[in-house]
Amino acid sequence: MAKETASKSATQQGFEDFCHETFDFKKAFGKPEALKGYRVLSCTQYILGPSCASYMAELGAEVIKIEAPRRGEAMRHTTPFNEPFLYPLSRWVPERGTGLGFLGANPNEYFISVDFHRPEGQAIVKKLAAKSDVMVENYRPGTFDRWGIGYRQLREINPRLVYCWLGGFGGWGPGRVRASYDILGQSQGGNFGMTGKPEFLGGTPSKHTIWLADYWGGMMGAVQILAALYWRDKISGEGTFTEYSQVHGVTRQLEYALPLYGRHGVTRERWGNWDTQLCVHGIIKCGKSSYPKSENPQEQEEGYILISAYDDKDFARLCQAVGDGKTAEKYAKHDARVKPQSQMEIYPWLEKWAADKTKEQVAETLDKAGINNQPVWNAKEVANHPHWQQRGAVQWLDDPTFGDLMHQGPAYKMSHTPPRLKWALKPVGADNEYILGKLAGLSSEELRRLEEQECI
Amino acid sequence: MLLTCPSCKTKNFLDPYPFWNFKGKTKCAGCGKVWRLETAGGACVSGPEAADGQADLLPGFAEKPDYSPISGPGLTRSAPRARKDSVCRPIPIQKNVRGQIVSGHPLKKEDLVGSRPKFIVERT
Repeated sequence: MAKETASKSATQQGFEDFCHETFDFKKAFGKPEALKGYRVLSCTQYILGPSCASYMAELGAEVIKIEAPRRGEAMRHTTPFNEPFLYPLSRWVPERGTGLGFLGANPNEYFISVDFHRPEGQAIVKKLAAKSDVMVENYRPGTFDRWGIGYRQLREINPRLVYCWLGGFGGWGPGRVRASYDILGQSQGGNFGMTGKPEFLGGTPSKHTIWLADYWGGMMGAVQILAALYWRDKISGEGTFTEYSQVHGVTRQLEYALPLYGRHGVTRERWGNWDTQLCVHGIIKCGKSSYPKSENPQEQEEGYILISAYDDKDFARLCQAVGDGKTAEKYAKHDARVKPQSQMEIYPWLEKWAADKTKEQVAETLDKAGINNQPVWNAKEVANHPHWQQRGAVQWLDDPTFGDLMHQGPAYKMSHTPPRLKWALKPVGADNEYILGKLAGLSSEELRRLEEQECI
Repeated sequence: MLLTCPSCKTKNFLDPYPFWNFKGKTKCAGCGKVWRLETAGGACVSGPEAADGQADLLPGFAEKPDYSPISGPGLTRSAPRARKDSVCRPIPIQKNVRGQIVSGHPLKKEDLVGSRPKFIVERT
């Protein structure tokens, strides 16, 4: 028995070391990039479009972000409570900065500035599109078509171009002519209506704080671009026009809500931090603060912890840890636990037990009992955890323009072609000479003239 | 949560952050009447009852029954802030949380090399 155990742990150790070495993000720069050689034009703003292009930039594509001259795109001017900025915004406006809202959706890209409204600007875009594989844009539907740089015009110049339009409602349909934002997408898609507290707990709907509809949408857009590139390069030799609507993306994630309505006419309701399908599988409040002396009022709050013990055996162990045999008997079976009335009794019972503990103390007790749990972490706790630092989820980046930045690392782990973080962002128009000179063939006199006219 | 003033029907928006777990008095921005109430988890659990004296916390925003807005000093309070010294204007910094240089303050054209701050380019 002892020998068996010893050889088992040697194998496990071996596999973990193998994974660590294979996926070590610090070795990424020594390996090839999966999408090297693909050129993507990113005429995008906010998060939906930029994130789509950025997922490809992380994988090695040459992504050229095209913004309005001098001031750049709107997301550069968003930052929490208007306080933290990275300077300069551009070499023409160094006294202003780029807001932190711009971070995370624009890494590894080249930044040029072109005025799409002017014929000379449109001519530049056409020159770049002739030499690009992908065009990503999220302006209102039909805008680029009107400016002569939409799919129908660019495919005449470059029939191999993959054109990805992302937006709120799509380019056609009765709801199409409207601006869209993530919060609007979450409201219309059905997400907001099902998230938040039920009536008996205060009854407020809640959107996801993160602009999830936008980031998810960017990923869906990247997937459809990669599929279109595969089809072009392996099968047809032709480009594709792809369209993505972020409201559709939200609706896509509604789980059983639509089939439930179609079958029974029942509308799915909010159920707070608990689960409609599994019990115990929810987040409870712990009565003691982990940081009672913090200056940050939210940190002073009591903590929260996820407890997952929906298997009957796990639930029995949970009851043992809490020290309550009656509840163990009453709710021994999952069928009995998952009912709404049962949940309304079980979670308050757990919160009563946790009322004099911090989330770390609760976690320690549950760990000893072998119950799956996770304290709800804030950004500080995530940033300081060695697991995520070692895996590169949180990285300190020595950015060549802005200096020492903490940044999220790319989430893919690939053995042969790992993604990598090269730089966080650059000022508006930082690469004008390099990209417009090299790709659009503009001479230095033309560049100077266009710059004076604020066309670039 | 919403406090519709029982007296003048002005909608006082008790913004969720400061009024999340609140026990005390607030003042209607429309008519100035003071109301005592208690909230727990953002929901009203007691009140509003008419009260005297000063308000402990003003509403974040208010609207008359005809939807015209009411805000201003003495009527509504400014947005809550995570830090006492936060002023909702750009705050310049030179170093970040671990004491390393970061370009977090306004620059002049002569401070740049191309689009990059000189002090970042030239640091050892």
